[in-house]
Amino acid sequence: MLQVLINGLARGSVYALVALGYTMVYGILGMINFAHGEVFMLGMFGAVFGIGLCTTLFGSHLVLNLVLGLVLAVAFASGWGWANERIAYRKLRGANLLAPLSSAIGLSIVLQNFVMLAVTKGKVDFPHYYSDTLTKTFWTIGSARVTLLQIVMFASTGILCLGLWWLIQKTRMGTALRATAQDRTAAALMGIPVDKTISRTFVLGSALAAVAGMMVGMYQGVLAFDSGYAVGLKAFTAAVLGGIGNIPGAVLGGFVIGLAEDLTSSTLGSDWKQTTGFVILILVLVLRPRGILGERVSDKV
Amino acid sequence: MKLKTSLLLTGFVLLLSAPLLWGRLDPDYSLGTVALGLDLARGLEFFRNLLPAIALGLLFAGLLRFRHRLPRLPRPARLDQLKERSWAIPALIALLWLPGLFLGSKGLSQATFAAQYVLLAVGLNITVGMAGILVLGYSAYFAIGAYVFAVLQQWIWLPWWMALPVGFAASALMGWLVALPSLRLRGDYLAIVTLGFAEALREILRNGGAITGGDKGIVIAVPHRINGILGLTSQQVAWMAAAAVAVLGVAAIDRIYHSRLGRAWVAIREDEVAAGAMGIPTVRMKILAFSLSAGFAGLSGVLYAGFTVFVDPSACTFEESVLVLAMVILGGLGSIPGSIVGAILLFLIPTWLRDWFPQMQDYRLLIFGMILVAVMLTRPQGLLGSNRHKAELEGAPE
Amino acid sequence: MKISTRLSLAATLLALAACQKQEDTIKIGLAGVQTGTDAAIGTAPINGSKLAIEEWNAKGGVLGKRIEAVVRDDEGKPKTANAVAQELVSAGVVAVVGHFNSGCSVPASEIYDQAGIVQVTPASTNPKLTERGFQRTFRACGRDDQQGIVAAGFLRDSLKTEIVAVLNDKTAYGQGISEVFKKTFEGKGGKVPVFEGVASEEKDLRGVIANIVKSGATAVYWGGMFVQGGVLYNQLREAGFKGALVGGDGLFDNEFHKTTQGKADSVFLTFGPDFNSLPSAQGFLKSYRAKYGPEGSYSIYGYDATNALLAAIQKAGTTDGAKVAAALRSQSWKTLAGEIAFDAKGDLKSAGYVMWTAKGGKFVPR
Repeated sequence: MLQVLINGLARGSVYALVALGYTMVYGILGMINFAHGEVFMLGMFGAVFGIGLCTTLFGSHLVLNLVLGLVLAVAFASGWGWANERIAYRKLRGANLLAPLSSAIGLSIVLQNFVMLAVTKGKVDFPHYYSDTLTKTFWTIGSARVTLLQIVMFASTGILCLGLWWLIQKTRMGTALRATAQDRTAAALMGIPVDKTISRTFVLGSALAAVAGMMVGMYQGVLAFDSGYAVGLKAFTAAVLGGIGNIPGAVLGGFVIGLAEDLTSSTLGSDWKQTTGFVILILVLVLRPRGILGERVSDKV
Repeated sequence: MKLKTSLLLTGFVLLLSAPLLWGRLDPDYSLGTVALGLDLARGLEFFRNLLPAIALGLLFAGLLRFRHRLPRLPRPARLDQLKERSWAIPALIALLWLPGLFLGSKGLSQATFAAQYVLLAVGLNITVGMAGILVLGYSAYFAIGAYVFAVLQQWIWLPWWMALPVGFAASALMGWLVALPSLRLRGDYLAIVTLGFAEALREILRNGGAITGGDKGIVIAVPHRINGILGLTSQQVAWMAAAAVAVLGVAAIDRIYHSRLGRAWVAIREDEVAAGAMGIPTVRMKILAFSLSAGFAGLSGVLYAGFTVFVDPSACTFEESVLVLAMVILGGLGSIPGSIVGAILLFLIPTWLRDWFPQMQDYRLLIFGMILVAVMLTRPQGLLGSNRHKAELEGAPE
Repeated sequence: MKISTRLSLAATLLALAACQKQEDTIKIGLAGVQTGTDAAIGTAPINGSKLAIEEWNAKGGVLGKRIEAVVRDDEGKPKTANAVAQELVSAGVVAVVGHFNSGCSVPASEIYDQAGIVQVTPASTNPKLTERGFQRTFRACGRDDQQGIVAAGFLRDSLKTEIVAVLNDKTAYGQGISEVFKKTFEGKGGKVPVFEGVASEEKDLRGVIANIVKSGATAVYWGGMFVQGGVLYNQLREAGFKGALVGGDGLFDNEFHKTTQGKADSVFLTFGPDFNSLPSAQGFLKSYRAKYGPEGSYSIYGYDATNALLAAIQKAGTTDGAKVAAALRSQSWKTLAGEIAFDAKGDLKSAGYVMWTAKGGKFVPR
């Protein structure tokens, strides 16, 4: 049982990080960034490519390459996140729901297939040399095991969330973000650079997703071009579950979904693991669309 | 967008895609590390493979730009007059018999699938185009039609033509059930619920084991398939069946559009509050739209099952839903001829491309996604959509 | 546009559409998975088939005509396989060597059988393929029930395992092979406390592994492919599970060793005998490597299946499906893998599966 808890929390931290991206974008733009799951996937690939680049340039230094690889992954994913907004969403800002959503879906398809065609249709292994210390170091608690990686996943989510909270509450950029989310026109009138703020939101979400991506890459050991879709959908469910636009909600939602999945797997068998997320999604939307902690979206005209 | 900005953006995207396109991962399995090498060939091949699609796209865009200089198509007015004649539909159905005679087996197969997609697109247009309800999980109702037929025919005698109304009813019922709790949600939430439902259904189908055959699917028994009769091959019959159902379906939907029901839907789409104030029972109308739309998908599902004699959970994927949605969008929301055109284009062109340029097989989805984004950015009302729709879609200028 | 112009335009288009190139060749369809996760493993038999066809063409073709290979990719998906089957039939192929995945061969065989053409699969192992009384469906490989039986016997008799957890990837192949294993293993007095399926894209198997650890199983049987097999192995070891991992031919790919860093231990799988080390196979391997690069595990199967098929067509003297099928059954055929013969159902009369194991980053016969 404890093992279920541990596994669930580990997955949950990943969902939480990705969910933050969804929730922030929805809070500020009122649209679902369908392509966010692909940005997460790009973060995974960015990490492996980044580590590869470092190894080519510097040789095999474990910590250095890992850290640099993370930086490169974040930069890579953020770049894509920024480009996504700029190209596919900016023009459609005021438009009827159908337009940005279709554009987002199209973008998601483009990104997924691009990686499939550009890199490989099969799988890519995460270089074990760098992940081995994390996956092979573990502690035993009763009959359960916690690996160092799981602790790192949980801890980094915590640290990043705190960092995000500080950013949003205590910095100018955070205030700009909150203001734009609340009322875009008023914020513009107050002199807030709306376009830049929105871009920064995307970058922020993508950076978090990239960190999650690298960790999942190490956690699973293999990546594929379709690794983003499932995580994306579940993370979105998490965001909705916690209350869309609500940042603590997204984190809470992430952990709930992670735990629910592992609980279902443990009780009903893993055949039903994938269904858990969708069932929760439907239940939340039908019974309590506001989410657990309530949503925070600007009043849409 | 200004030219300089576009160029800068393109350059940035090329830069971002560089590592993926031109980099090659060289893993060292003994050490467990990976190095990054340069692989110019792969990157070049990517662009070379895309070339036919890009060329075609530019051609298409050019045609669209300069369509006013092209010879005119028959004016819709005469078409409306023709439609009113009572012999119009039976005549059309009789005419459709002709291609069945001289199209090769492959052409017939393609035509049959195209007809099924036309039915799907026109069906989806009811909710997305007419009533303004975005549906992301349309393939679920298609799958229900197909699976209800496939599952039932294992136990009772149910040839495909008997299964048609059954499929319609089953899907319509499911649409009604899904719509009941969901329609009061915001637009995008509603869309996601439909998607969630479709994905959940797919998982249930995969896990259904004994009843649904799981990932292995169900094969339709020979007597229940669309078989050849009266000297016609099974493919010819399938084509005629699909075409006939499509024609009848389109005619029915067209009739509905021009009735009070259709006008109610348009009113709801344009301003739901005002429509309600005018006395339209908005919720009931929306549920009806949803249900009807689902039913047509079920019809298409039965035809599909009878024709391909095999159903499996891949009938229920998001990819299929998006494809039909794209057909509706490309053709033009709310426009029946638009959906027909969109369905034919988005089905036949990729199929032909695959035949002429086999190396582009893998690029099909990529191009499809790019088309979707491009259409939304440049011409959201689609090919045949009305300007009213364009104004609605683009919303108030920022 | 005037009516007459429109009519002539339409007529021209129709004429073009109906026009088909006439060529005097015998078309053999090669269907299999060439994209997606199984692409690498699935291209091997197709290449083997192509090599066989080239060799026959060099000797004058079959029945005096050149053989044309019509290659189609079914993406490993049943729906695409269906479409591919219909395409091949309408392209006028006289026989098909394919598909690869059982989930594709089974629905496709319906189409081939209806069209009256022979199908020989080099790798589809699901028993259902030949259990429906189709006279023209053959397989040049073993069946899952044989694989499951051999594996169960191995675990029970050789390794003396009592409790095995069984997982599958919910595909036709995976479910088939794991169900047979479970039945046989329990029939021999073993216990299967865990029998679960995971989605074939799932790469985090810790949930089901927790169940496995809890159940006290001392070995795991995996009915699925090598990508997940590798992930399963890694995560099993991470969870502290030290027991054996046993699988079927789906595990047999070098990518498995890449994922497990060449350090896989206590991994066993059922596969055909080691043909690649036979002296008779060396010539084939040399030509194959020269043309297509490193050979895959199924290259020989594709090659042998095609050779047998072409020889049968030659013997039958016609491309008529029923006669070719009868010819295929009429005698045994000399292939690189030895002498093969087809029984009434279309299976190989003897398709000995043997246990292989992972050693030093490779699969070797045990």
